[in-house]
Amino acid sequence: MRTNRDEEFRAFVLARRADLVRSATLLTAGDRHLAEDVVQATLTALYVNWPKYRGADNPPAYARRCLVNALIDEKRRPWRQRERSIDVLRDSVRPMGPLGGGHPFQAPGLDHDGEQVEAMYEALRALPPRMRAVLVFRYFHDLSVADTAEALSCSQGNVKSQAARAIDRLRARLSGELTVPHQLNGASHV
Amino acid sequence: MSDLTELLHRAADAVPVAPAASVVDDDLARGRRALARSRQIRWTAAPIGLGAAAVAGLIFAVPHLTTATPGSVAVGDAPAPSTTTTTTISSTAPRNLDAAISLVAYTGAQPAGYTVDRVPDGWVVQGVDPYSLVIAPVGAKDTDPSSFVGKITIGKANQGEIEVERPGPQHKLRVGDVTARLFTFPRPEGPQAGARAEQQRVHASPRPDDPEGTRGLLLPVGKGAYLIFQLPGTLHWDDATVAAFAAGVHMTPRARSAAG
Repeated sequence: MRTNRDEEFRAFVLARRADLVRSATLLTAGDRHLAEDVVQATLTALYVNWPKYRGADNPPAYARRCLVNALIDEKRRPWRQRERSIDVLRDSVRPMGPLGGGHPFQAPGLDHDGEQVEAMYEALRALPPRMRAVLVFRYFHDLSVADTAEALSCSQGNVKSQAARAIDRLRARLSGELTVPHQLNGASHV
Repeated sequence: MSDLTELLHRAADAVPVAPAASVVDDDLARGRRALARSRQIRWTAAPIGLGAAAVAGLIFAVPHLTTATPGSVAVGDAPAPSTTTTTTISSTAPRNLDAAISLVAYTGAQPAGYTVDRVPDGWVVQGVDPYSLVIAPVGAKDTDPSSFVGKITIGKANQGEIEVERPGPQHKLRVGDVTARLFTFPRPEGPQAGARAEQQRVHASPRPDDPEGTRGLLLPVGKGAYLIFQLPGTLHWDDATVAAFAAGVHMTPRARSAAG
């Protein structure tokens, strides 16, 4: 038997699942299996708490918070050893080429988008999950500092400092100039 | 020079989009199963949100428990390991099974997460972790503290347990200086689309052996927080006894709600 909850949820999944997967892919730094797990956990939590989601002051922020919580929960599972594999990857990151030799984030001798994407994933992997989330919400979703803080249940000051640190680390990691939108409602100093 | 936003979009766009109908169906089925587990709380297995560390703790504490729930969603802070206790309470004399079980003072060690002033005569604290306190009859065949059938189970209610509409008979009950809600847990529902495996698990479980059904109590314990009680009908408690028992149960800061 279909219920209103079912119909609304189905419409939500059709409309928003792809976006959730895209966000989760960035939040998991390109780990698509983990991203799918995180999205499934997020959607399950949303279905169970559907009245709360519908009644939330800011439903999209509620959904984003569920996504981050699901990511953190997934990473706490003892049978996941992904953090260890991240450490290994961290040591094997291929340094990107210097400025002036083609695309600034392009590895020497490599010339396609796949390499750039992988370099970005590797840079994201080097960030702690919440710092990564700040980066994704601020510069992928273009959320304001306030909305990012709401999604992550933290202070706006914390968002600003985390964003600044994330950008610094990305710059160091990617060995190139990185422009960052600074008009996004009180963006950090970068 | 490269733009961070552009790079992030390029990375995110590298994944497939547009969910197929079967994917949506699967998402819906998972949600339904989780909601069913939330509503049928504690009749069958461990709480949905039982933390992974808690599951690990149970495995250590109860050697025969080997069926941890890999599908569970760990939430909140890492919980303390579960513990079991064998504190025996009062009488072991034969009793009339239809008679109400009286309350006696609890004299054992207070379990972390929840404390109790009184327990049913002849019952023991069988297990406790931040998610639930389980009290069972002395000598109960089911010694698994993650199995709640026929036992008193108390935990911090999650939002779903607080908000869910309960169709059965219910009424307000004064407990100390707060008003609680006493209700009857519904029996597990019939199979639903996409939830066959879960329902088979539910129907394979024993039911509480009582004619009146298992009752529940939602007890306010602070701003927006509730304790939820599962009270098997075999206790034959009247409202006054339920209130007296509930008034003696207290939640500590270590308590965690099982995610719905």
